[in-house]
Amino acid sequence: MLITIDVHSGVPAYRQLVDQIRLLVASGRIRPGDELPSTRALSTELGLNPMTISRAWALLEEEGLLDRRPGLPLVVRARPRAVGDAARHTQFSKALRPVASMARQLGINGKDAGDALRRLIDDDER
Amino acid sequence: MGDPIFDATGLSKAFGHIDALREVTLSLSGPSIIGLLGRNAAGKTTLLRHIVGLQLPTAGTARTFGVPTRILGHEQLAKIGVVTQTPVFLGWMTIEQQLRYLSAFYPRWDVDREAHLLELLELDGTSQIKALSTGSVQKLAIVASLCHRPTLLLLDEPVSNLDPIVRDRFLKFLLEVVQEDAATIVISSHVLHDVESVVDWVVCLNDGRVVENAALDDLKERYTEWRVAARTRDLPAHFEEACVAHETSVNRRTATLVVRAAEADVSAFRQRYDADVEVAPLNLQGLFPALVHGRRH
Amino acid sequence: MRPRALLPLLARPMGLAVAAQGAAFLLVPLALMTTLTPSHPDPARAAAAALFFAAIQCLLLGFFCGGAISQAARCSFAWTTPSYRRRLRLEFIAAGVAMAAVVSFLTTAVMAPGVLQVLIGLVVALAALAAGTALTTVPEGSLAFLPLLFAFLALREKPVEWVLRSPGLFTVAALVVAVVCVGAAFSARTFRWALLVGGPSPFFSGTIGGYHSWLDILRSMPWWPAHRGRQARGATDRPAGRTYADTVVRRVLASFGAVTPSKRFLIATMGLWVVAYLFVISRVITARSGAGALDAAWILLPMAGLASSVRMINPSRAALPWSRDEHLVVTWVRDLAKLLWFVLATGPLIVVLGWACGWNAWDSAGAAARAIAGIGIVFPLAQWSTGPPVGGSPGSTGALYLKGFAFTAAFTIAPGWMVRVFPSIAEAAWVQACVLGLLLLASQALHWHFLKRYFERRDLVGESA
Repeated sequence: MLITIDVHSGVPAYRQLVDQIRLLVASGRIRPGDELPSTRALSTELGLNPMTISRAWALLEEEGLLDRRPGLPLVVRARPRAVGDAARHTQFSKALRPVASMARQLGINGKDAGDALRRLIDDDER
Repeated sequence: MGDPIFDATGLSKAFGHIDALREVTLSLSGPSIIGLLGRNAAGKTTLLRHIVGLQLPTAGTARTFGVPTRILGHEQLAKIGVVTQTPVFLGWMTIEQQLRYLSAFYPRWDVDREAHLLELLELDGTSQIKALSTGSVQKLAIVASLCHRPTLLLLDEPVSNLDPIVRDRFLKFLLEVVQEDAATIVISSHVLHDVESVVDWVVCLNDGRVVENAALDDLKERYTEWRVAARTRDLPAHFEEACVAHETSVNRRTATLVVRAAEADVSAFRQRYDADVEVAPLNLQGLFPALVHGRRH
Repeated sequence: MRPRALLPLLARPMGLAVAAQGAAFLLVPLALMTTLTPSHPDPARAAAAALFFAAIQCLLLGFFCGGAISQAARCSFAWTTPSYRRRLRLEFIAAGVAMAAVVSFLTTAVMAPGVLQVLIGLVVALAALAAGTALTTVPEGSLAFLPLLFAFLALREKPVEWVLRSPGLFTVAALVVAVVCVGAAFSARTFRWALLVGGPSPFFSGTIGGYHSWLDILRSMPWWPAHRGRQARGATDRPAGRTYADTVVRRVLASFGAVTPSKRFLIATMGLWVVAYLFVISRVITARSGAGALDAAWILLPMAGLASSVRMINPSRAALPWSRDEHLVVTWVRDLAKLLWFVLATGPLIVVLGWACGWNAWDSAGAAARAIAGIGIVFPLAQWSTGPPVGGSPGSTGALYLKGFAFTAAFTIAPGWMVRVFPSIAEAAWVQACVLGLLLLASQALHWHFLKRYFERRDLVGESA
């Protein structure tokens, strides 16, 4: 699974896991109906505390992204509710906050900052 | 989660006129990996000793597995594994002999786990304990504490003498233990980096009192770091806001603060001090002074 | 249930050595006594005496057993291993009863067969074994040894008379002693103390170590008031006017100061130690014949020698800014200072006070001087037995046990030989003085030689330190 969790970051591990699962579902890398790895396997692979993983699963289940089946691994819901534009944009804005702060300190205005960002995104796509 | 594995109410311990523990009220339950943090002489080792009944409270109560620690018996002790800060074993025995000796006292002893751990920690079973280095004795203490599949594991600085590779293996093994045995693991360590990688719950002691008892993730969400850069005016020497939990560094033009996120108002702060504020998350290393000290520099 | 708790602790090479020594010390005199019995006027009395001899052997075995148990009690697993104390106690009682039965059968059945004697023997042997174990494991045991030694010296043959007069009462008393000792040795209090205090069992360092360790031992007692505010002092407590230790004499003095917290305490305990011994013993034995006084003196002088000779292990001395040669000189001078202290001060003091109390162990100044010189010649042996001069550890409890035994014997035999046998070899006083002087010089020269070799070749810090 394409997940990297940094336990030493200030961002709580469960939140990183939740965000990355959301991202994977939103980008289509995990499709509805796909099974997620068992807590045990994920714990070994990522070196994460199983409680952290359980907490992330519980949150995602509450949001309606995952379904819990008795005795079987969790599965992505057939028609996930919460992962829409709003959630993706919120995630993106959060990532931009430190950049905005840097822009302010360097005295770069919003328009120039927006142009720079647009150039980077277009460059990468090419 | 079931009954608490350890609970203390108003637990106090005094040695002469020194108060090692003051009115500790705590409840530990599992399965979980709990980090017991604190400065030197905060009472961490004393608390761990109380859990096994090695020391008895001068006031208050302490119960392990629901049984008062004064009368802990065979049934409870068979479920507890302990690694002490300076482990001591019978020097004239070899590692294998020592483990065989200990295995006779436990109802179940997992020989496969013993072999696996000896290999994982790179211990030679035929070496005499007298001739082992401090790190190897610590490794032996780890093996001896885990082989009987305890449901409560108390580790007092278990990895301080281990090299990074073995340390990493051991911490990963703890993750297996907490799942396989549904164990409650309490790690007391100063190496926050290691603690952070496996722990889900944090109990922080300072000067004999419990100052924090919360999930690690919650603590990371509760506190943030503000990196303040003054614009026109100089910054004050101290920030009086109630939301500031700790001033990591303050000088005239910049400051780094640990702030309680729920009470904090960034824009009001910006306006009041005419400064730029960059908000960043904090890991355990950054959180620690705020958890322990509160406001002081 | 197979015996798994106590037996593995005892079944080691040291254990076999102790068992062999115990068997030799028990069986050989018994065999001798068997051949002598028919001619003995009072077989019951002889049986009782043999029993007490056997009881002393059981006491020594108890020391070994207790040493092994206290070593295990200091291991990290001792408290948290389920039912550890209980299993140790059960196996101890079982093994103790078996061993005591064998001992009592051997001693009493040989002399005066009878069920009563065998039973008494069993209980007495068990009580001695339990007492030996309790002395080495219980915290206060290390303090109790010397008073008990006094009692032994004072009572000597009285217990034999008690057995013959009222065997029933004596047996009950011995049984009570056994029960109390077993209870104390395996109590939760003892095991908690062992684990929390740590370090080697104070029994061996306390009895053989002499005054240096007494303050430390007292401090480690559970009832000693804790933390008397000494910790409040700052880290740099260098008193004003403390001189730099550059000469050998200054270094020796400084290293003495490093060991004892207070010189005044050291002097006070030494003085009290000597006076207390002599007072108690003389009070008890003034009514007795000269034979008793002789024995007491022969125990007291060697003990004073042993206690004075002990070299305190101070591993941090390796960290001092001294070259190996400087270490060598300081060590030798230190040891010499202790020898001179004994030969010129403690030894003569014991002799003088003994004469004042009416002893005639040494009927002339010459004999006393020879006795003291005899101890002085074997002094370095005891100094080496406590461990290497710098760094390292004193060794296992079992090794200490054997060493203590061996050197106690040497310290008793040497002066005895000097007083009794030596005059027959060299009669003139000046010849004796010369020979003794030469022997003293030779022993110091050997001591210097071994120290030199040590400092030339050995590591000053142990491998696992």
